Amino acid sequence: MEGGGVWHTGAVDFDELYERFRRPVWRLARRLAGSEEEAFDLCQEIFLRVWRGLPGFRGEAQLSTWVFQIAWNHLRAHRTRQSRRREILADTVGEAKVVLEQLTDPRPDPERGAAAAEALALVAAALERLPEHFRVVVWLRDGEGLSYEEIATVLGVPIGTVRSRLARARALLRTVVG
Amino acid sequence: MNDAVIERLSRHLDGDLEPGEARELERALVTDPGLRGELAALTRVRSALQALAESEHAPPGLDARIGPLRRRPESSRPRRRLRWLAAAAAVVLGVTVGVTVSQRSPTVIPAGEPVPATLQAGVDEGAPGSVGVAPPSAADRLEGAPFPQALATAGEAARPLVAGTTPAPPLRERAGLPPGLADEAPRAPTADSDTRPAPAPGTVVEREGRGDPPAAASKLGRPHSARDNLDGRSSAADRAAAGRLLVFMGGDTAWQDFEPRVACVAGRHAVRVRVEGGVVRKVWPVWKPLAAPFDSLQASELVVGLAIAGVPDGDYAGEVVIEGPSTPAG
Repeated sequence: MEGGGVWHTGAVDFDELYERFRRPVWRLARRLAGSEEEAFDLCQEIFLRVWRGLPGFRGEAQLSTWVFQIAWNHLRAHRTRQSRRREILADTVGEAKVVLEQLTDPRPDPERGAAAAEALALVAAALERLPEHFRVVVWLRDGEGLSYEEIATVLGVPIGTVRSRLARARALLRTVVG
Repeated sequence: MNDAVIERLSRHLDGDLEPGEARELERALVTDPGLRGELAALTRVRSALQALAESEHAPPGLDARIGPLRRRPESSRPRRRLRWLAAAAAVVLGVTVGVTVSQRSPTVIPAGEPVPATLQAGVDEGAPGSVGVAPPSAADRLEGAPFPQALATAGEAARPLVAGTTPAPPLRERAGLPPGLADEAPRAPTADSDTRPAPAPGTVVEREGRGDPPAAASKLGRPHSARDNLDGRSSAADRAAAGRLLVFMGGDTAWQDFEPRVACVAGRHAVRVRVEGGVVRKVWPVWKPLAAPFDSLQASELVVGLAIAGVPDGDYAGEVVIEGPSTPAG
């Protein structure tokens, strides 16, 4: 055991881990939970699991993959328990159209800021309407920047599945983001 | 546009195509405006999701929830090692603290609800002052029900956290993981990985199975001696029934560096608490007054927060009782 105390028994310090993954885990929970409150609770539980498992983390896997894997497993288990099924959409994920410039306009114009927030909300809503297996793939790739290989590891699916689901998810979302 | 083309464009966007495939697609993009438009649309999707990610921040309340798990490594500096911070006054510690804890208690406390009256106070005769021990507040949600679903998975009956004899808890080998967690906490993949997480240093490997084997039941038929455990002489049966209890003093940030990490068996564990300036400084076993600090008091999935407030400096006797299958209520 290393000499760093009980919270430092592995190769990674939990505090540093939390600082690094607080936002990504929250965002993933937010993507997959039914509400902010639910995401909040899930986030807490995920970090408890990370904390519990950290002494066993040996670094054979990337830390990000390991953390996301815990998060995904927990979120998926939660969804199973809740027996909540997202509506699977065949052709579209939303009626509204988001103009990309609304999302990225850096000018501090209050009106533009409001428009950007509204646009982001539309994107989030569109994401939420995606089937979960599409949603998580496209979010891990485009929202969190994981590689195809990392996503395949996190989700426990072949990389070919990642490719096809990602393409499908992007295609569905393109009907919203114009 | 068919799915194969979309997938190729999507992969091109991520640089996932083989060089030959990429060259072929780029040639097609030059001549096909529809293809270019599709690629542009996918690019906008990616940008939109990136913008969404950038816009989202974890809520401030999350830090407070996770706070008890956070701690900067400070072991190399003895002064800081002994730093205890009193935070939320979830529990007021007086002269003597007796904490009665059911091993399975956290399974039944819904998140967001206060822990019921399970922390019991007692007063040592002759000890000055008064005692006040209250359950952790609703704000200490972290301590409420961290693993309800895991326990549900394990099929355990929920049970209120009360004083008294509790049935034998299921035994399992989890190498420091709580029940059900081993199913969810992935192990880092290795070439020859098996399905069981490797024991972490300092964790107690408990026996697989459910129910009490005769040896364990027999062993647990008497109150455990905490000395057994602390001296490292506890049997495998003891450890099999051992719970793990993390005692966090003072809510969010106050806890002790317990080294080495040892799990306590069910039974009565006497400790002394040293309070300085309203802040807990040390906890150590009363029978080893010179040995400090005390090993971590660990019991399954339960975090007990003790905030110290308004007591004179000094040493106070206390105890933590972890109820085992046949252990009389403290």
